[in-house]
Amino acid sequence: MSSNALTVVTPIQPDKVKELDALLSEIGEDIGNKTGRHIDFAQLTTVHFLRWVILPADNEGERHYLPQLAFESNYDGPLDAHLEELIRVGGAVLARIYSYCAGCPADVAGSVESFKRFLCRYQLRSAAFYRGYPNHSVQDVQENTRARRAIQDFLDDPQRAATLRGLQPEQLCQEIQKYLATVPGLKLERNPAPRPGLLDRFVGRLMDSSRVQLAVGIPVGLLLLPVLVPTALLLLWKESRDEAEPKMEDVVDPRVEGQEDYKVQNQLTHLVEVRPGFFRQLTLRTVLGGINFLARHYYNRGNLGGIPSIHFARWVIIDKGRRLLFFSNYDGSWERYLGDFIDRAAVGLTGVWSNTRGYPKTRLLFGKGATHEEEFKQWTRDHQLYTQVWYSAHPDESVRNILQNVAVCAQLKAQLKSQEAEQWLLKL
Amino acid sequence: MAAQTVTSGSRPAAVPGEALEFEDIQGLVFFGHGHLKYSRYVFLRVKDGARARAWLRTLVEGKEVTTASGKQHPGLTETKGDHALQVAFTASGLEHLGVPSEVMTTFLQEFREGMRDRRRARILGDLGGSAPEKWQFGGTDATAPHVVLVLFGRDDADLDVFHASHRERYQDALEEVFLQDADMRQGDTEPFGFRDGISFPYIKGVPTTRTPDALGLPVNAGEFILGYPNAYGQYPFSPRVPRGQDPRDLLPEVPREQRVPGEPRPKDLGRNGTYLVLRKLRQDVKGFWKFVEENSRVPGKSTEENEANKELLAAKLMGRWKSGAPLALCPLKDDPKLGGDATANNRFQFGDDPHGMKCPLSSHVRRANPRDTLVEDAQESIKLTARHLIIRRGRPYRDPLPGGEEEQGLMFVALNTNIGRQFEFIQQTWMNNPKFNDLYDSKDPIAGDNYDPEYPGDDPKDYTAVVPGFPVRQRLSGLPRFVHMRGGDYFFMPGIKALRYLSSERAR
Repeated sequence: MSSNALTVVTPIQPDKVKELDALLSEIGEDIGNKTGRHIDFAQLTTVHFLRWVILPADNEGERHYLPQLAFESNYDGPLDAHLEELIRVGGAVLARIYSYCAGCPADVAGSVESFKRFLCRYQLRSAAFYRGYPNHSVQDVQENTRARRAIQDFLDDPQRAATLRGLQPEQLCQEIQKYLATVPGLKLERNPAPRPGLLDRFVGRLMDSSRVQLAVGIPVGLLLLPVLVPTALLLLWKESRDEAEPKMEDVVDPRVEGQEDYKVQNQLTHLVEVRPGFFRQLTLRTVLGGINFLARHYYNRGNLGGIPSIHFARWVIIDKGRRLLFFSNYDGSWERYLGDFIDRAAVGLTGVWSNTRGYPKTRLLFGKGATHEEEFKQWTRDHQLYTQVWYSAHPDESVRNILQNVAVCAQLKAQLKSQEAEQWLLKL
Repeated sequence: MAAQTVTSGSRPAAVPGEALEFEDIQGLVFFGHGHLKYSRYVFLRVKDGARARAWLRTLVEGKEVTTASGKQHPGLTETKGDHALQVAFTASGLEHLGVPSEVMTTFLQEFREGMRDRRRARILGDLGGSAPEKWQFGGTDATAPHVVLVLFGRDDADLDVFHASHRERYQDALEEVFLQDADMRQGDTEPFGFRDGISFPYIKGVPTTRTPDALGLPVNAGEFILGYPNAYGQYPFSPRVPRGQDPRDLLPEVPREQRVPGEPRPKDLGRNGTYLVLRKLRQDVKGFWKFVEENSRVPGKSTEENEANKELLAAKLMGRWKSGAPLALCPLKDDPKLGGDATANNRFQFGDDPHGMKCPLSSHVRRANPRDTLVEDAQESIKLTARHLIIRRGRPYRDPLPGGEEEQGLMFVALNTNIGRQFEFIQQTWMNNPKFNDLYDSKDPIAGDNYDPEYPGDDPKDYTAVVPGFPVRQRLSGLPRFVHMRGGDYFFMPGIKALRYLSSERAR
């Protein structure tokens, strides 16, 4: 079972934005549903992360956008089951949220089918979607955490610790396994990791070996030369005319920074206008398509081009191509996340965002841009939105923790020889 | 120890935009004034803006602010001044000196918000007993300093005289909100008992007396001094003044690369200045050694063995032995000779110790500077680590308490040009991050914001330190917080030209 992305962007009745903001903020501040008046997110079995964000009206200059409500979820399994669970658990509150949206049928609260149809009507495809652990469901993540905690309890018991210290690694592993078998409700079997497909293996070869890159790259490059040269020239000309947009005072909602750093994980919602013209649509969609391909077939093991801290991230093109929405669920501080962008993934990000307004000066689509460190951070902040509701099913787990737990739990029933046992114990 | 001058004492070759203007940079950037063992941090509030400017003028015109030229030029070892004086301002201090809001907005946001800002406090782990409202100074509007005057002298009496002479001059313009003495009587040893001041960034273009072995990778000066290219090869954001507001042409121009369209040749208020982070940190010395003792004592072992266990566990938490010898080089037993050898005690990496069997992944030293193990590729890692360095100028303090007891701690001083990417990053992403180095629930065991009973809902079980070992790691849980925040703020420490500008009665 692999995880998927759902994005739903619905228009809000312009006179209801304030009420919706108030309702969503209330839900967001009570994410554990302590009041019992909101959604009991913990009951959802299919959801890793979800959020609601109001995309405010924007009437600046020639731009004109009506207010919209964006919903994103990262869920396991089929969409239908996810929607049904969402409506079953969130029912009445969901109906209240969407009653502020235009085009929401009146019978929404009464009919699951009509609610599903409504949401699907406004569903948008991700232009690029990254998953840190595509083959591990919420259930797996939580099951693995339970197993790890049980092992910790066993090892950290002060009475036991002294006697364990004298054991050989394989004996200790056996002791741990014996103990785990006595813990009620603990699942010890794990499904083996799926084998990568043919395409994945080919892409892996291509990305990891410079020789294969040359062998494939040179003929493809020569073949595309008649397209690449004029594209490059056109880009250089366009980029020479790209205007830096003067920074406007206090464009960032102070609530954006105010909602960060309460837990291990953080989120980011970012919205920016695409530069006008057909050419920029083409370059934007080409680069996003490329990133989506690599995310699916290569960057699918918890590491996006050297960044090990992203759970899920997606780009969605909205408003008929005029704006680009970015959602991310990541570990650690904003400063670290943005630093990783710049230090590790500047090329890819610049390839995408160089097609959007106000982005720091670029060179040939992929160059410069994000490497203007302070300017890039400022630009990102300027386009960030306050996220009214954000839920994580495993808020204390980093991507690295989740993957480490997978490695630990893969061998819960294995008979480990000395060397293997030593390696396994190092993970605890 | 064969100290040798690597770069000659003469000024480095003039590379445009790179040659440091030593005579315009406050000396603290380049040296801690180690020959002046006594220091006093005088925190002041402006009573009268015009008088404060007049006072500042006398300091500048009298050349009383210590710079990095003349006797104190970096690379010189022999003659040093009898006193040293540095001066810096908080954001509200600059406002009280008359800096208009359009100029204030060009300063870093971290600086403008100040250390006691709620989000900044969360980033820094200043919560519970360390929350701003509990600070001795800087935590509330009433105790927030505007100016810090740092005075250095040879001994206590000398410092008193030096301070008295200055007090006479500023008392009409400024009032004292807090005074803090800190000194280096104990040499380089910090209150927990470990050698301090070992690791230090090597700044490109700055002559040094250290040996090449101890230097490490040279870092661009713009990481520590505004107006020069930083680790990304770019000019850091620097506060600026519209051209019209500098009629006497006191300030240099903003470099071309840093200009924004529609801004006619602004003047650079930041050049040769830097941001100064100042924190009074109480160290719970008793608590630290009690915790170490309780977690290392093995019943039935001899006193000597238990003493050795205790020293080992303390070293595992720190990443160095008390002597300064790094665990990465001598994991089993202290090597005091190595600890005191400045050519060798900082010359190590962690690459051959991926699991932390020698130096634990959660140790203080491995967090404060992960060296070659921040990312997989060692060279890349060293390069990336260099984007998160600070210059430290801290000194230990001892405050007498009623009943003959003493409060011990550190007047922590850090210098950097991007507070968010340097000082705050180290604090938030390396020290206080329980997931650092792929850990689960371990913060910096020495300096992290660990279990604090004054923080509502805090559970000691959530704070651990992991010491890797055979056959399996030791996991200490219930780790208390040993370093507590007592007061502080972010300051801007201007260059001399900028000080002259700030003290002038410009178009007002």
